[in-house]
Amino acid sequence: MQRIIEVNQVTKSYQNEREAVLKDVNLTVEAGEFVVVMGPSGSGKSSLLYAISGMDQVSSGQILFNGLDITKATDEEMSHLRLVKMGFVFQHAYLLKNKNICENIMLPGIRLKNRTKEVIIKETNELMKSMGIEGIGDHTVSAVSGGQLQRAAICRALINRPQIIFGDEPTGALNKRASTEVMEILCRLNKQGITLFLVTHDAALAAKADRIIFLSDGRIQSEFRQKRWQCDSAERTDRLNGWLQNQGF
Amino acid sequence: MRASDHQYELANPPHFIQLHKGAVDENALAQLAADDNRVTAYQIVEMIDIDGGDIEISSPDTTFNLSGSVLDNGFVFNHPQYDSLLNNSNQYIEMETGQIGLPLIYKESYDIELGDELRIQKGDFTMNFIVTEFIRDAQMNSTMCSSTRFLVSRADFEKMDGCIGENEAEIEYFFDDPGYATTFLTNYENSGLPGNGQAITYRIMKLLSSFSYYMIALIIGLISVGVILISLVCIRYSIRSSMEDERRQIGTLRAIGLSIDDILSVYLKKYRMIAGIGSLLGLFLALIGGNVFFRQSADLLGKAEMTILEAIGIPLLGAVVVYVTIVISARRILKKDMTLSILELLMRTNSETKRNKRFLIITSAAAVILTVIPLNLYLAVSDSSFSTYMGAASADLTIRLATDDDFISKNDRVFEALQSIIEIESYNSFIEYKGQVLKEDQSLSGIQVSVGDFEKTGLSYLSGQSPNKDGEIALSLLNAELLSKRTGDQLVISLNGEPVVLRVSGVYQDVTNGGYTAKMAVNPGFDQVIASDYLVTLKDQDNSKIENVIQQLEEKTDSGTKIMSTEEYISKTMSSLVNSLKLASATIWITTLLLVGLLTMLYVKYRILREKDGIAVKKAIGFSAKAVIREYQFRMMGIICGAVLIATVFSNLLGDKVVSLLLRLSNIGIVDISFTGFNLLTWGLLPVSILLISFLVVAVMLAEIKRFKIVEMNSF
Ligand SMILES: Nc1ncnc2c1ncn2[C@@H]1O[C@H](COP(=O)(O)OP(=O)(O)OP(=O)(O)O)[C@@H](O)[C@H]1O
Ligand SMILES: [Mg+2]
Repeated sequence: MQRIIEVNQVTKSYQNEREAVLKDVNLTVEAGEFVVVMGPSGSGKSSLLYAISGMDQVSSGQILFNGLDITKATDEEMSHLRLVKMGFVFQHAYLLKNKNICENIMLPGIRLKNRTKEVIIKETNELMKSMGIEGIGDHTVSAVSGGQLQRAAICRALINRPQIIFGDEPTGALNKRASTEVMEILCRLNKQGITLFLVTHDAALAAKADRIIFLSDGRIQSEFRQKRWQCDSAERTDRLNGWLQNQGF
Repeated sequence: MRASDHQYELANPPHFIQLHKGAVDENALAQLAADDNRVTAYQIVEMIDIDGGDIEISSPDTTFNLSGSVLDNGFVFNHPQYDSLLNNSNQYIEMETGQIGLPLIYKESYDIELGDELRIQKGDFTMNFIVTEFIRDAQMNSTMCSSTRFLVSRADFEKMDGCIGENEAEIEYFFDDPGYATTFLTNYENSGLPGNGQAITYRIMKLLSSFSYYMIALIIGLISVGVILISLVCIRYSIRSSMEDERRQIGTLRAIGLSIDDILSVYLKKYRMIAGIGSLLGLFLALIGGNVFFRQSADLLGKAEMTILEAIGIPLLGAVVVYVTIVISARRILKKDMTLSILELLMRTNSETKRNKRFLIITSAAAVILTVIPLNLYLAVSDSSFSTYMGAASADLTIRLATDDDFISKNDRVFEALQSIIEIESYNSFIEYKGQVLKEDQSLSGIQVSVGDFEKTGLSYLSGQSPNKDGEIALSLLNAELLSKRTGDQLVISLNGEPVVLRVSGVYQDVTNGGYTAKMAVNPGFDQVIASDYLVTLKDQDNSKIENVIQQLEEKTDSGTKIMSTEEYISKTMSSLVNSLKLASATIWITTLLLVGLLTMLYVKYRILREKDGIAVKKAIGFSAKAVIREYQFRMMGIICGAVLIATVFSNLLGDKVVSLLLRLSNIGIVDISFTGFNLLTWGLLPVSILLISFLVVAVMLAEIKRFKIVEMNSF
C-alpha cells in the first residue's frame, strides 16, 4: 500500500509555552486508511493535525506527504498541496460569510483553474445532492442549519477530489442526528478510497476507524487497530470503550 | 483676515494718500481737512526717494546694491500717531542716529540680517547705517505696491534732505469711515490741490497687502473642509465597524431578557462617553495646533490677539460637530439594529464591502482634490500669463513717465530713445488722462483713463473685450464696482461740463496703478495728462538683451522715467504671493501624502483584522498567502486607482471653477482664474505620488497576511 503520511520524530512547542505540545511523535498513514486521534483535552490532538496538514510549523522532525517533506515546503507549494490533495473539515464549517453556499463550495475548484466554471457548477450540484443538501446553494451562510453547513463544508473539501480529508471534531458541534449523517457521509467517502485523518471525542465515530491513536501529554501512548470486517458496529464501539478506559480516558 | 486687520489698526494707515513731488501748499491742504467734516486728521509724510543703485548693503559675506529691486525706496522718519511703521513685534519704534529699519520684504527677498551695514552713496554724499530693525509697513507691506519705506531717525533724515534723492510728499487724510475715500478723491482732484503722483485709497492698499493672505486663507479653508470631510468619514466608518462587532453581544443581551430601551441607553451612554473623550481630546489638540498655526501667520502678517470667541469658539464648534456626528451615527445604527430579530442579531453577517469601498474612494479622491487645487493655483499664479489677469500687459518692457514741469520734452526724449535703439522691435504708447464721470446722482467722480491701442496688450478680460472704437471704454473691476457698471452698460463722462455717453466694452482685473483704471481706444477730449506709458517689445527676449536695452534707455532718457522689465516686475511683485502659495502647496502635498499613508495603513490593518477568519479559511482550503494578498491588492488598488483617476480629472478640469467661485466670494479683486491646462505636476506627478504611497502602504500592510496562521481561526 502507498504511504501518504510519514511523521518522523516531530516535536512542536508554541512560542510562549515552555513545554512542548508534541513530543517525538512518529506516525504513518497509508492510502485509504481511516485514522482517528483521541485523547484528553489539551493533549495536542489539534496541534498534531495542523502540523501534519502543513497548516502550522513544527519545531523539529520531518513530515513526509507522498514522500515530500512538507516541513521544508514553501507557502506556495503547501497551498497547492492543500488545494489539490487535501480536504479539511473542522468543528465549525468556516464558510465565507460574504458568499453563498454554492460559491463557497466552488471556491477551491475555481482557484485550481483546471476546468471550466460550468464543469465545477455541475460537480458542485452533484456533490450537494449526494450530501443531501441540494436546493440550499443560493442561501447565505447564516440562513442554513448547522448540519447543512457542515455538509456544505464537506462538499467544499471534496470539490477537488482530494487524496485525504483532515477533520478536527467534524461532528463536535452537531446534534445527534446531524452528527450521525455526517459520520455516515465520511464513512462512505472512506469506502470510495479517500483517506481519513480525524480528531474526535465521539466514540461512535471513532469506532468506525481502522486505527485509533491515543495521544496524551503530547505523546502517542498507544494504538488500537481493528479490521473492517471484524464484528458489528455496536460491538466495535464496546471494545473501543473498553480500550479507552484502559488508557485512563 | 485677523492678523492683517489688526496690523491696520495699530499702524493707523491713511485712508487716502496723494503722492506729490515738488512744493506743497500746506495751508490749502489743512483747509481742505478743516472744511470737510468727515476728515478726522491729515498729515504730510516727507519721503526721500533714493535710487536702488545708490543703496549698498554689506553683510559679512557679500556686498550688493538694491538696483535690482523694482520698488521705489523711500526714506522716512516715523510718525507716532498716524501711518506709523512698526517693528517686528508690532510696536512703534524710532531709530537712533546711524540706525536704519529695513522693509520686511527685503529681508525675505535679499537675505539681509540685523547688523548688516547699509550705505547710501551718490557723488560726494555718503551715509552709513546699521540695520537694527525690520519694519512692518501697513501701507506698503506687500511687494505688489510699487514702493517701500525705510525708517531712519529724524536727524539722519534732515541730513539727507536736499543732498540726495528726490523729495516726495505723501499727503495723507483720515476719515470717519475709510469708504469715504473714493468720494474724497474727487473732491481733492477738483480742489486743484497738488497731486502729480498716484492717489491711493485705503481699499486698494488693504487689498494689495492682504492679497496673499486671502489666497492662503482660501487654501486653508479648502483644506479644512477636506480634512473635516475625511475625519467625518473615518469616524462613521469606525463607528459602524465597531457597532457591527457589538451586534452579537447585543443579540446576547436581548436573548437574556434586556429590553430595547435598556440596550439603547447602555450603548448610547457608551458612545456618548467615547464621543465626549474624543471631542475633548480633539479640542485640546486644536487649541495647541491652532495656536502654532496662528503664530506662523502672525509672523508673516503682523500679530493680533485672538478674541476669546475665536480662540475657543471655533475649535469648540468643531468638537461639537464631532460629538454630534458620533452620537447621531451611533444612534442611527443602533436604532436600525433594534429592528432586527434576536436571531438575526446573533447570526447576521456583516457584508460591508460597499462601505469599505466608500472609505477608500473618499480618502484617496479627497487627497487628490485637496492637493491638485492649491498646486494648480500656485502654477496659475506663477505662470507669466497670470499677470494679464492682474492688469499688466504682456510686453518685454514698460516705461512710465509721470507728468511734471518738463513732461513734454522728457516725453520727446523717450520717443527718440525708442526709435534709436535697434533691439526694439515695436512699441505701443498710451497716454493716461484724468477725466470725470457723471454718476447717476449727477455728482462727479474722477477717473484715470489710459488711451491707446489695447488690442495687442494681451490683457485678459473678465467680460467683454478691449475698447476698439470711439466711444468705448473698458473699466477695471474696482471701477466697475464703484460705478456699478457692467459690460454693455452706458457710462457718462463729463467733458468741459458737457455729458458724453460711452459704452462699457469690457471689464478687466487690475491691481496696478491703484486698481481704479480705465482704458479707451480714442481720446474723447480729455486734456489733463497724468502720465505716458509705453509697452516695448524686443526682437530678442533673452535676459541680457533686456538688461542691455534698459541700460540704453536709462542713458537716453531723463530722471523720472521709470523703465521696467515686465517679467522682472511681475516676478518681483508676485514673489510674495507665489512663494507663499508654493510653500502652502508643498506643505499640503506632504501632509496629504502622510495622511493618505496613515489612513490607508489603518484601513488595511483594520480590514484584514476583521477578515482574518475568512483569510484563514481561504488559506486552509488551498489559497497561498500570495494569492490572498494579490486578491486584496487588486481590489484595493483598483478602487484607489479609479478614485484617483476620476479625482485628478475632476479637480484639474473643474478646480479653477471652484477657486474662481471662492475668489469671487472673498472679494479680493480677482474674480476669475483659470488653471494653466495640462501640466506634468498635477496630472502626473501628484496623482502618481498618491498612488505610490497608497500602493506601498497597501503592499506593506498586506504582507501581514503571510504571518496569519490558519490555526488562529479557531479563536472564534
Ligand atoms: N496558538 C497556541 N499558542 C500557544 N499555545 C497553544 C496554542 N494552541 C494550543 N496551545 C496549547 O497547546 C496544547 C495543545 O493544544 P491542542 O489544541 O492541540 O489540544 P487538543 O488536544 O486539540 O485539545 P481539545 O481536545 O480541547 O481541542 C494546549 O495546552 C494548548 O493550551
Ligand atoms: Mg482541539
